[in-house]
Amino acid sequence: MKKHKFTIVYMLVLTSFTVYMGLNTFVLSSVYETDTSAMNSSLFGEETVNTLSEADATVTLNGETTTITNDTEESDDEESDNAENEDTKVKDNDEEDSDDTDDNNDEADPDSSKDSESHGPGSAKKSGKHGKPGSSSDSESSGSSKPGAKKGDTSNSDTTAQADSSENKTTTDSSDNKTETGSSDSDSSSQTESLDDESTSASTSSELTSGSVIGTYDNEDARITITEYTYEDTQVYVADVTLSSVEYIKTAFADDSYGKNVTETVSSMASDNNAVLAINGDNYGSQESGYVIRNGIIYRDEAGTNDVLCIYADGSMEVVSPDEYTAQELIDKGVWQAFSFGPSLIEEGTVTVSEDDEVGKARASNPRTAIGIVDDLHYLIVVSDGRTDESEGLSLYQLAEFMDSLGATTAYNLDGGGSSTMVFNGTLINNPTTTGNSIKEREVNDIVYIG
Amino acid sequence: MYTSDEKIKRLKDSLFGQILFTIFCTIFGLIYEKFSHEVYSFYMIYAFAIPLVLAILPYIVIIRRSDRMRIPGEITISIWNMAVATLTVGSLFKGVIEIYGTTNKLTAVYPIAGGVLAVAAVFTYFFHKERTEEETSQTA
Repeated sequence: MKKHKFTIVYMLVLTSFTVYMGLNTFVLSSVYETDTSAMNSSLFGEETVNTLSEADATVTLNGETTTITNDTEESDDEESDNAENEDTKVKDNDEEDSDDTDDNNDEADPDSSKDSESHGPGSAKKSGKHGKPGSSSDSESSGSSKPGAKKGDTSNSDTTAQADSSENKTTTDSSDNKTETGSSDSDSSSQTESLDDESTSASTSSELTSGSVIGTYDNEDARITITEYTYEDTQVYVADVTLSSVEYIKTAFADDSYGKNVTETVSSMASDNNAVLAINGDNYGSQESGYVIRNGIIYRDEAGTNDVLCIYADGSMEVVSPDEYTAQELIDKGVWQAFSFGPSLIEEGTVTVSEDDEVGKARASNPRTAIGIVDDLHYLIVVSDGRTDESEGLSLYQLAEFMDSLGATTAYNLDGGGSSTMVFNGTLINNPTTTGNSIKEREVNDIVYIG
Repeated sequence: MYTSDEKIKRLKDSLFGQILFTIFCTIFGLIYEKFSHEVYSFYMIYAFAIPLVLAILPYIVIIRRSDRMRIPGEITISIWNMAVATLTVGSLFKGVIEIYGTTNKLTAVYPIAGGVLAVAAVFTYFFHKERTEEETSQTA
């Protein structure tokens, strides 16, 4: 009987330990740093890291255009100036729209279709250098909003909420909206394009059926275009981001704290940080190792086993092995952000994952989040839906192929599954779900944002 | 003191328990993988193999060859069963956190504890001899 007692006691210990392990892994939180607002501005040779100015920003979401202007003492003059500028912008847009229409008409001719710049992923790959943000010559965002494309009911209030910054003034010009709506309708063919079979090798196997612009942000420092694609029975949301400086790609931790099981929704973190665009990060807290370098600050210097994505202060992007460099060496090399999740999807323009060589634990179709670079200061941020009847989800290989077709030269997989979330201008863009039964944001450790 | 028949009976009881445990692990792994959105873990899928290989198979061999093999005593069987349980629970837990996509260094406790218990069981099998009634009577 004593021997049985010993067995029973041991089983109780084993059960208790396993319960503790469960709590320790999934529930109990530990905060290691309570203030993570510091940024390493020395990487940019400046005293402070610049924040994306909302001055003169034009935001379009689901056909609703919002213009944010500086609120200064000369507000009346400014307003009239801005009104003039906006009129000019609308005219420019109209002109660009008509140009786009011409381009689309030209696409019937295979030779002339190569001239269209970035409406479809296939053509985007050949787009080469993009103009600096704010340049009116680039027709990238001119296709602008497609009315009612998605989440129209929530866009108005969220757009206004985002613009409620203390020193800025928000105006919503319904006439402009109508103007854009009209142009968008007439330009609808430019927003629904099939992937050019000849444009990329990846296109031959893909099922990219449509791409519709659902949101844009445009000011002197950043141009963001949110496009929704249908690819492999999956809704994929692509943020095409062109910046004047990589310092506008920032990261933030949940509750502004670095620790384990410290979580918050992407929407909440985006709001806290005045982010124009935000996605989930690498969920660093779920791993016990792997470099965590955020905004030029080292938070974890223990090397992990996953590939490390480095975004340098010069705007370039590179995937390195954690064995190659220490965290301090990465900082010395000018790393502004480093993520430890992976795997690497594309390096030097070549897809680096295969159908049979997925990350061991998640080879199937799932919601995904990825980030990549096309060329200088031109980035792609991709979030796909999944696990629902409407959206199957992507495998890593499909995601890599998709980003390759968009022209990414380097791309990296971030935390996916129920974590995959994209928030633009305060509005949830994708349909995050963990189980597929309900659309709900999962709380995550960190975000990558433009702001 | 136990008779050989009693030892075999205890072994059969343990075998029955291990069969139930293996079935539980198989069903648990299948259900967990079913709802894991095809995020898989070998630790979860093959957790059932641990009691199958380390307990069921050797117990069957010992029972069938009981006339030619030393039958383990109660202490040995108890410790061995604890080792198998520890390794299996550790494998299941490792599977859970792998599927969730996280890590915990403390999972190393399971294989270490299981290994220590297994070594202890082997030690008692060879060096701690529980005498049977027959052996006791022969000595007398």
